[in-house]
Amino acid sequence: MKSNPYWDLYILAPPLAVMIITPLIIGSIYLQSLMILSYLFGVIVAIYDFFYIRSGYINLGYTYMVASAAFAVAIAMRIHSMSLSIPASLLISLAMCSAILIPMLRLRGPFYSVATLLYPFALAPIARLFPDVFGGDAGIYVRPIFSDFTSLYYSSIALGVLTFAVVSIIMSSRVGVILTMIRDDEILAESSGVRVDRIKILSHILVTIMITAIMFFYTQVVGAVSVELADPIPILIYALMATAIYKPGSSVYSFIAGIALWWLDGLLRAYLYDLRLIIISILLISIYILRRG
Amino acid sequence: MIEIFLFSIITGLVYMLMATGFNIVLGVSKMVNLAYGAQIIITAYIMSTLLDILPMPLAIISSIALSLAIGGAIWQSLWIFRRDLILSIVVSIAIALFIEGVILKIYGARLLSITIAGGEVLGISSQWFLAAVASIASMALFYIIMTYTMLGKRMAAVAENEDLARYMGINVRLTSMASFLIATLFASIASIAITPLYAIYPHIGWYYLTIVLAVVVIGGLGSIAGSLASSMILSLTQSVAAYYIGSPAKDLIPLAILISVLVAKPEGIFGRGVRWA
Repeated sequence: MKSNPYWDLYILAPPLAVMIITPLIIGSIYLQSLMILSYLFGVIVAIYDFFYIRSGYINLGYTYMVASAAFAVAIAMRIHSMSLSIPASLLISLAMCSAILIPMLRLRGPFYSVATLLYPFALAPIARLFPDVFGGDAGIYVRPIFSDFTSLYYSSIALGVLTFAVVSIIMSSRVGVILTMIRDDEILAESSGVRVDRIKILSHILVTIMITAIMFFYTQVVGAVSVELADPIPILIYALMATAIYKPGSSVYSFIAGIALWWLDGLLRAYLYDLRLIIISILLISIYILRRG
Repeated sequence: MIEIFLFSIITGLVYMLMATGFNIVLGVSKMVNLAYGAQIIITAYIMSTLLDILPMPLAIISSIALSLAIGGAIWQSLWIFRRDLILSIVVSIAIALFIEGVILKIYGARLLSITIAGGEVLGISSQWFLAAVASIASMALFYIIMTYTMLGKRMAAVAENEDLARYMGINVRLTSMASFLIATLFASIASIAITPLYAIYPHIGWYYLTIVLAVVVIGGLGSIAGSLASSMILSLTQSVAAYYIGSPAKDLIPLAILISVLVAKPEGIFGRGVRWA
């Protein structure tokens, strides 16, 4: 059973079933919005796990990429023609995220992680410098595309499934094997004839496209984008936690853990806001210590 | 313009002090301490409380002593995980979040300003003068420790080859702790020097960490001359950008310079061949 590369995908069935029947049971649009946001957050975490944890390139600037993709979507949505705004959002997202590709091509291991950590802190000053484009600290509204919430809800679920299908195909393909090789020994991979830089660029482009697609739905649900998205909490810290809860590189488990942590964050915000950072930091350390054990 | 230039030099000296602390820990203990920014601000918050109840010199000494005690605890946490660099990075992020969370809980998210020295000395603000003197004195102390003391020689030996240093009878653990405490001392002094120049808030530790990382990456690992040069370049560019473009440009400068250096020379401008890539 374990030898089947798609085995983990069966674990997706229960959460997917819950997601699909939720609108039939719960009429509240607010609760449905929370459900879909947690689902999309889970997918963002799963992508992080697959492309960064699996390859050993722990990208601490992931929130920069997520926020950039969201801004790219919001900016492109200003164009009223959908056939233009979708490629435009991808192009803007690729352009903004290409900045984080530079350390990936030049640095390795902890040095890569440290350099990427700086990126999320750049987004707030950029937004303040160009308020007409990024809306300053307040952010910008996103033009709604979907006429009803149900179609947005189910389209988001479909996108998540599609993302997992793509990740599974990549995982069992040559690229997936090479990503593992890069993690284990990049120099050996290079000397074996693998064009490591080409794989890095390819995986970076794939991540950017996937994140942009997810942020398209995410921003449709939220209705606005601000620089707060680049804040390392919740995305980065919860992504780090979720990927460590089970075997690193197992995107499906990270997806489920990501959903659970998203709800935990909501509870902390609602009931223990003052203690939120303290609890999150203790959880982060505990999970990594247990993981190590 | 002269004021901007002078302010840049003083800020650059404080940046260098911060970066030297980070570099010491990275060089001697091979720890990437991302809680360093939080360590810088914790002294300022402790001092803001102590200034209300103690005379200023005593408040400063006590806040440094308390910061050193906290630094000792942080070192112990990082020491356990230092063999796994990624794990130690995650742990140091968690420690930074914890410190930020505690500060938020106690002091709230409001801006806090601290005044240590008022008036003028030699025609410049006393606070600027104090910052410059504290930074230069700390760097002189570091030079003396590294050149003339056994501790400095042990630190250099452990930084060069930890296993060999251990075979030679050097207590690596103690040397690592001592180097971490020196770094904490520098963070505390930098905090006392710089926080009266800017208002502080719980999240600002990440900004200082950004500065430190930029200085270290640009200057090159383990290069003191590189740290000095990159600190000055950074602070001067920040001041000029803030003056001509606006305050947000100042925060963007470290990243812009960092990316440029990574593209052109990933080992840093003054790096001594230490491979980052």
